Amino acid sequence: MKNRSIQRIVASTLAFVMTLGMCACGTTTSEQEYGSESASVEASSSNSVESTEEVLAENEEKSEVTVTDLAGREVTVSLPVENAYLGYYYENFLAVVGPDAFTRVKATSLYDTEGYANTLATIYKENVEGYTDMVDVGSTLQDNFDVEKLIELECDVAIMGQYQYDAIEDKVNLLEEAGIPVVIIDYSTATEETHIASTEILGKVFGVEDRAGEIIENYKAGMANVRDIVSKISETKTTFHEFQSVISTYSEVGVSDFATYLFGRYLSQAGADDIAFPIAETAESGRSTTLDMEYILDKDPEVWFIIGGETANDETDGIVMGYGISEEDLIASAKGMIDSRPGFTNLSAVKNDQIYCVENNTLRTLRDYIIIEYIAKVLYPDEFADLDPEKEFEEYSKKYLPSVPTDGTFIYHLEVADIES
Amino acid sequence: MSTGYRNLNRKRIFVIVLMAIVMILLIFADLFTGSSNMSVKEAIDILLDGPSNESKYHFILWAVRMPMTMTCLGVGASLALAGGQMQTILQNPLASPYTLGISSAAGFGAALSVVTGFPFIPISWINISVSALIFALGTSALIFTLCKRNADTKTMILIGIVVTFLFSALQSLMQYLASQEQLSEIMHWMFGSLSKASSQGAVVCIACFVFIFILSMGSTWQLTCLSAGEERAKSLGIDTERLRRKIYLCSSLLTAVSVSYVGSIGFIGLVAPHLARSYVGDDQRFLLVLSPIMGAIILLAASIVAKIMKPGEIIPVGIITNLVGVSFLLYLLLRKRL
Repeated sequence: MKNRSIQRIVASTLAFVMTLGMCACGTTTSEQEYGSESASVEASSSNSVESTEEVLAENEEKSEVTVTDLAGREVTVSLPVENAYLGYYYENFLAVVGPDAFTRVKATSLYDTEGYANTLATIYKENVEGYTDMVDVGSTLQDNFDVEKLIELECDVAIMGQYQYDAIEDKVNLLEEAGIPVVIIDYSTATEETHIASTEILGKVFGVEDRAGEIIENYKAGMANVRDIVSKISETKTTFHEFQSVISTYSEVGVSDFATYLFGRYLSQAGADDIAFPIAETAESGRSTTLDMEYILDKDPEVWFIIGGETANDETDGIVMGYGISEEDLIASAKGMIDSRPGFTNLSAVKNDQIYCVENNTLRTLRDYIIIEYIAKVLYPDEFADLDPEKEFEEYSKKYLPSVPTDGTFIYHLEVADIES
Repeated sequence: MSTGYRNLNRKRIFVIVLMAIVMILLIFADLFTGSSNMSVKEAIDILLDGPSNESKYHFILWAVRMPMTMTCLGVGASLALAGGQMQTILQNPLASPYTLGISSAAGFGAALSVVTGFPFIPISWINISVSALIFALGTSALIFTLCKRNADTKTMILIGIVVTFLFSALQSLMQYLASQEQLSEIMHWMFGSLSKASSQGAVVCIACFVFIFILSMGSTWQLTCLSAGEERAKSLGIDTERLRRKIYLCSSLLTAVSVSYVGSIGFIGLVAPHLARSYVGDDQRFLLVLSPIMGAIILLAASIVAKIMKPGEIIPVGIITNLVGVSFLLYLLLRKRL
């Protein structure tokens, strides 16, 4: 009896499996499900019936550019690029290529931006031309990057971040064999060299070298200014910084970067002596760490930087910042933060009102030199008295990101009196 | 030979042939499924054309879909064969290829590679698989050595538990040291996914399976006796400890290769042998053949579901097999209680 019932179950399972198989065959033939994607594919196939003369004329106009990407690979791209895949770094792409930049992007990995910065994505959807027309091909961060879809879309070039290359290097070879050149850029390491090299690549590939050159000069000038002034300062201040995107309650401490990575690098360039830096010398590996509460109290930092953003909400603690966030919203989100951490009221940074907030999405961008200026000004107000980071933020946005509204809070001095319960 | 026994064997062969046909149909279904708008007719034409870069769809079918389908075949069959062997030598229906901690060891190897770049091969994408393979094979060798003196089932299972805990702890350490991107990579590796499929990997996996399968077929009589009970096998003159060690080596090699290639795809090694056993019983001549077919069927079906669940994205196949596996495990437990 038991055997029979098992067999019935097995038979039903297999019938289910077969049905799924048949459904699967059905889905491939359905073109309606893919909406705008199928339309674009049809459009590309209709192009193939162009007359020979038109194709020849087009070929004559086409040229090529060879770039050495951030993975050290020499890649040749046919110009002009009108249908690109862009993985991440939307803001930098928009700044370098111009307001109509996204009309030249056919495919993307939406999760890489929307998964971490939904408000930013909404702002782009509402204000940036071409953003909503991009086809999502999955993300390496979710392990669902769809190579097949990308090959079908026949993009002129795939612009990927270094983190994507690290995750799917084998698939990169496959894409290139299919005729899609892959160019690696990197704004996450946040060095002046990688920022400049990535911007030069975008300029060359999208034929906007002048605009890219202008942004590079702007960036170099900002960095050189900070470097010059910092080199003359003999004293250093101790800092503590934390990314609050990874905490769920204020009783937890966020992640701190070492001096060679992202915010740690910014601090180091601005002349700070962060309390996380000595840990790197003994740490087995990694770019960041979570500092022990006792260690923070023992080191007693003079300035406390908080990297806030969109991940905080009604259910999750953390400083809220970014597009559409007012100073009042930010202060409200910080209520109870110091009380949740025993002993923090005795920190020099708290006693001297030295708590500063920086928005997470402005890191890894071509305006992050303003963040470095902001850190430097906070640490050494007299030496950097001439700088006005808030004004620079606004000017940069108006000049290079004209289609994106400037409303929001991106850097802020959080006063202890405002958040005391 | 009695007529009843002959009829029983005929039925078993019929089931094997039927399931092999189902497997072949699913291979084609998997090849015809994907996010691009290639129709079934086009796919058949391209399949008949043979490998070429004539059009983007030729490339998609032969270079993108084919390695994934072949991986399903190789990994599904390997895990099912390894699972069936583990259940027999450990005489435990809940044993799977991961029971002795090989998956945890491979998981730690992968996490170590993600965080540190070990074993520092210049072609970075190979590092994770190589590191996982090193730890999986190293752990298998360690367990094998520990079991040399005493290879009874209880000792093996307890050593497996110790190994699993050890590598879970080490993996937690790696996760703690990892950055957010690295953490995400480790987590997705642990799900098990076909996204890493490549033609070279599929060939290695299938070749390894064929080699171990042929080797195992030489021990079917001994394994059938062992599945009838330890004492009975010993009374028939079988050196059960020696047999256990040999089969353990075979199944750990299969598991190590599969896991290091596609991550820990769960429950195939647990579910497939049970399904096969419900059709052909414990006679290893048939079980060793049907288990791999069932494993391939389950993984191919999961792959198809993963592709059609969310058009334009591929859900990690390990999530689907886990969902199916958990329900089956629950069914097994409830049936036992009833």
